Amino acid sequence: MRYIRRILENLVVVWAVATLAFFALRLGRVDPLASLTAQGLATQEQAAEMRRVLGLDRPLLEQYAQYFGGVLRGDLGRSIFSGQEVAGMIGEAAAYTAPLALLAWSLSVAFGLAFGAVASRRGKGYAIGRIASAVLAVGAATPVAWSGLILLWAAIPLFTAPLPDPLREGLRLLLPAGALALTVGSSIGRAAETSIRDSRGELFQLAMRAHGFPRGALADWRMLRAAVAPVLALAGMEAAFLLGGTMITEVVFARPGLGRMLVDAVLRGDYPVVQALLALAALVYIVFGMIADFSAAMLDPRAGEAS
Amino acid sequence: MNTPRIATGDYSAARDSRPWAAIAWIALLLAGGFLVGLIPAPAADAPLQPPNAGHWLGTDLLGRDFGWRLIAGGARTFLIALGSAAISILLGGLWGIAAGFAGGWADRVLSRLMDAALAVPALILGLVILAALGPGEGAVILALGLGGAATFARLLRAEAGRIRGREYMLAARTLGAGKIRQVVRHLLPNISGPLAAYGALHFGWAMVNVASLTFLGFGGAPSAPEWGRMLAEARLVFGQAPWQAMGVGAALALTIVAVQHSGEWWLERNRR
Repeated sequence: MRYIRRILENLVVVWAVATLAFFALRLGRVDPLASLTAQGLATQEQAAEMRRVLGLDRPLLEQYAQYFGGVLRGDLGRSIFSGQEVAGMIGEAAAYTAPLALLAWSLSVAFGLAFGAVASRRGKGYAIGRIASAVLAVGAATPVAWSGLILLWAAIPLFTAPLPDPLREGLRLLLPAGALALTVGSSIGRAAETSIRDSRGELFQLAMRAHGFPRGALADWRMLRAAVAPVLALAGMEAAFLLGGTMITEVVFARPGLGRMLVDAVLRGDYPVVQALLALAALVYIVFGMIADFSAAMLDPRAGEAS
Repeated sequence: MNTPRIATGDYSAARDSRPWAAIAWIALLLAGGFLVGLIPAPAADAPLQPPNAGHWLGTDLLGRDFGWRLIAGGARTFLIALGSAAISILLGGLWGIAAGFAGGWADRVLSRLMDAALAVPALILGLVILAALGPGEGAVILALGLGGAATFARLLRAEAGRIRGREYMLAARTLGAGKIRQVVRHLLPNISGPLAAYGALHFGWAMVNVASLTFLGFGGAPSAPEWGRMLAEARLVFGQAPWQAMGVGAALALTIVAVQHSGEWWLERNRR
């Protein structure tokens, strides 16, 4: 019952986001047809005709009712510019973004947890901890546009070297994923650093140590478990935010995908595309948020009681 | 150039020493920007010169002095980020304090609004607001300011909720202090420490995202030096003049680290 209520509440959030996008775009200053006429691709009459065909000349509420009627029937509309169905466009772009996001996220979690665990032991005579901590601080502040550029530059010899094609393709995915993972992983790592350090002071750790568990950064999974739970919650959120991160990454690496599609759609004023992508972003966030909560409750038995 | 990870992350990583280096860097950045603003931009010269006596850091794609633009652009990016952070802090602060202090149904409504706003990555939210406003520096400030407000509101709601139950708040209520007086005289002074620290961290986040949006081409006039846009321009000539992209990116990362480092130190200090 609790879950059904939560799902319903979240659907309202998705709807609210799509509605916000709908009105913000139409009341805003980006007019999809103005750019066409400005470039001389359409005359004023043609633009007016298109506006009529697209239904953009009708009252806002009527357009809104029509749009959401379509959405309820599973029709997300068509792009103003290409005329393609938005659902199909999203499917195509997602095929590029999903592997990138998945790899970036996996790398982030691995990198973040490993560096976070090491950094949490920062103390006298433990220089590695300090170094790891500094790496995380700098990594979290490094814009993807820059780290991506450096990675691309460093990889130039690899691209000119005679490599088998599958390896080259792998590199095409690994570089943007790596750039993204440096930033995302660093913020996960910083959370892990604090969380693990704080958990060392907790009573259950003392109890476990008294029972003969060894001490150390990665001494035992059972030690880390409770500290990792909030970090995983954050990692879940980060997964949802990867759509924002891919905007920059896909532009820097000239890859097709959802992020780049969103940037282009916003710049051109492709209303149906922006609306659908925003609703998708909210949906992804909510799904990952629920997964994160659920896994946190599994990892740390205390989490369920508190909420 | 990314999602609001800095703002959603954990703020409490222990930083012990005083952030003198960080403060010095920020002061240098602002002073440099101010001083360089006093002299007019050097006239355009041959494009893509390597560093030389006339142009210490060479010239960019359009033959403009890169060093001048780097210094002037820093202060500009800093001020744009500062403006947007100020909007987030004011709006998010009001929002969060109202929710945390009021409690009850007002809290429920305000919190649901936060959830809705947080469900979209703040950078994407800012992008949509920007779509409504049209590109430009003022629009970037407003878009990121509004886009980041919810993140800040959530933090402040927690702080205000924590303070609300304290004895001195109860004492103020018992003595008949009005709502406004309770907030201004008793609540605000007691959360000003975290408020300032979260503000500094939020500012670091704003800086990343200002650079992101201007990198994508949503900024103001192309002639105005600004780090995100300069990074996009330097990217085009990376093969010929890699030091330009390196310089802008390093300066950007360094500034963000400096701001966050100061913020963390302040937060830590206020915890004790």
